[in-house]
Amino acid sequence: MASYNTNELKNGLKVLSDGEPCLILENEYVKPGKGQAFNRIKLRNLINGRVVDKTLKSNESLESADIEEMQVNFLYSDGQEWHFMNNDTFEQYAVDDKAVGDSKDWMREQDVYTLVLYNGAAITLTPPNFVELKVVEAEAGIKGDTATGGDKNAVLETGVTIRVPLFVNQDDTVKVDTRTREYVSRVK
Amino acid sequence: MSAGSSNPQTSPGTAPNLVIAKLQSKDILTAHARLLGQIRSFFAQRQCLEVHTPVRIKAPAGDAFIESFACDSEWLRTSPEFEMKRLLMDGSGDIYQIGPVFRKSESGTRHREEFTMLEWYRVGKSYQELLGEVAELLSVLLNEVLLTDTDKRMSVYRYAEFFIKQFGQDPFTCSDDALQSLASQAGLSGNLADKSRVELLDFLFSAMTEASQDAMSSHTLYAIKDFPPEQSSFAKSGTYAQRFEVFCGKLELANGYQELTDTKGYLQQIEHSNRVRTQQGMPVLMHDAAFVQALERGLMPECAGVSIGIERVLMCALGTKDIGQVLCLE
Repeated sequence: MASYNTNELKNGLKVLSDGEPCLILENEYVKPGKGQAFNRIKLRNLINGRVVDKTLKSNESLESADIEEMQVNFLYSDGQEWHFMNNDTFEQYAVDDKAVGDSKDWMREQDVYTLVLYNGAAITLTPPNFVELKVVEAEAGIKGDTATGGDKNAVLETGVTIRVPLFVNQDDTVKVDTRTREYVSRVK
Repeated sequence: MSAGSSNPQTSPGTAPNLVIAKLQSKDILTAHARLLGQIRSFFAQRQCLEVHTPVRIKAPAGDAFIESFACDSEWLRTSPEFEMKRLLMDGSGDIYQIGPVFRKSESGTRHREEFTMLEWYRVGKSYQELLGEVAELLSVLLNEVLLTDTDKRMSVYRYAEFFIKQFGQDPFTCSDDALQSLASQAGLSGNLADKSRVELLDFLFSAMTEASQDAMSSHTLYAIKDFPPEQSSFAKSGTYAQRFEVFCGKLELANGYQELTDTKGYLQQIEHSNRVRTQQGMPVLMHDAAFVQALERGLMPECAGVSIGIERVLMCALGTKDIGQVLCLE
């Protein structure tokens, strides 16, 4: 695998740090006037999501990580694994519960997700930033209650419960921000 | 003073959308000009003469970790140190210089390969006395950010004291293993057992000036003096190196020494630098022959010298973390 010198470590590059694949978030060159130069690097571990700070002597190097990112369609879940297909290659991927994580809440057949593979194995699955899902259950909104602008619970077709404004009803389709898990707007 | 660099000037008669790319705002130019005026006024009142020595020189300064740009058969100076010392040996008396210096591969949010150095020498003064003068100058140049007397009063720490406060170990006496362990905890990557004591101390110094309490405020002036002898560079040294460095928050502003006055000391330092350079796979440097000749005549006066990065001072004055924001032109 290729390796990168400290001055080649641009943001967005995927490298191995302590044997785990990481994403470079920041790379700052620091040199005391009379001393050696260092690079202070901020990395996000692509497996556990944690951000780590590391300092390398300038001109040391890090190995690149075999990370592949692709768009995949959700096919089905067999209760233990979640199955996806890359529509360009027709290759199928089985992703375990852990890698799917919270994305379960937004999972709908034939929707497109981002799959990250490390050395060919799935490590994370991310939904699109916004999804449009049907409301299957919503408490009745108190008619005419617009003054307080309050909200209520609604269950979406994927089984997840979110807060929605009082005027949202069962069978409405709502747009949700998957990153914040918040209602954005009513669709249609 | 605002630090803004994002309102470039457009001259009358040009289309309103035409931007003169990268021209800094008038605020930066004004601050820069004012700073230079304050420096000149400071030294005029203190019997210190402004000099200019060549930027293109025959022998680069001979540091372990500073690289020079080759310029045909000569070099661009990384500092005016040795040329100014030859003036001192010629009987110049106290002198200062403001001008460009060049250091290869030093580039980042706090670094540019070309930057402006203010360097001066006080004959017959100790490095501690010179540190006092540095504090006086900085309190003038940073007057607007060092608002309170507490800010203006520069704290001075001995290296060992500062290190112990930060890491709980004495850098002069603790074992190499202990240093490796501290370095690892502070986030240094790579095979630490491979690294020399000097490398570990270098990293830990960098880490402590980044993370200490004093580093946290962007307008706290403090100095560290009396470095480990392995890091003496061209300063006099015994059980400790008679050196100081001045910081404003995390930014290194100044480096000062009790200057070496003997040939043996100078040549030993060149040899030491070259050993480190060879270890790093860097080419060795020749000593400055003209300088050595003059040194051998025993004419080097006892003196203390200091160099200050002008852009760094401007960064403090204008409250920016990015050196690009204080340049007149990039």
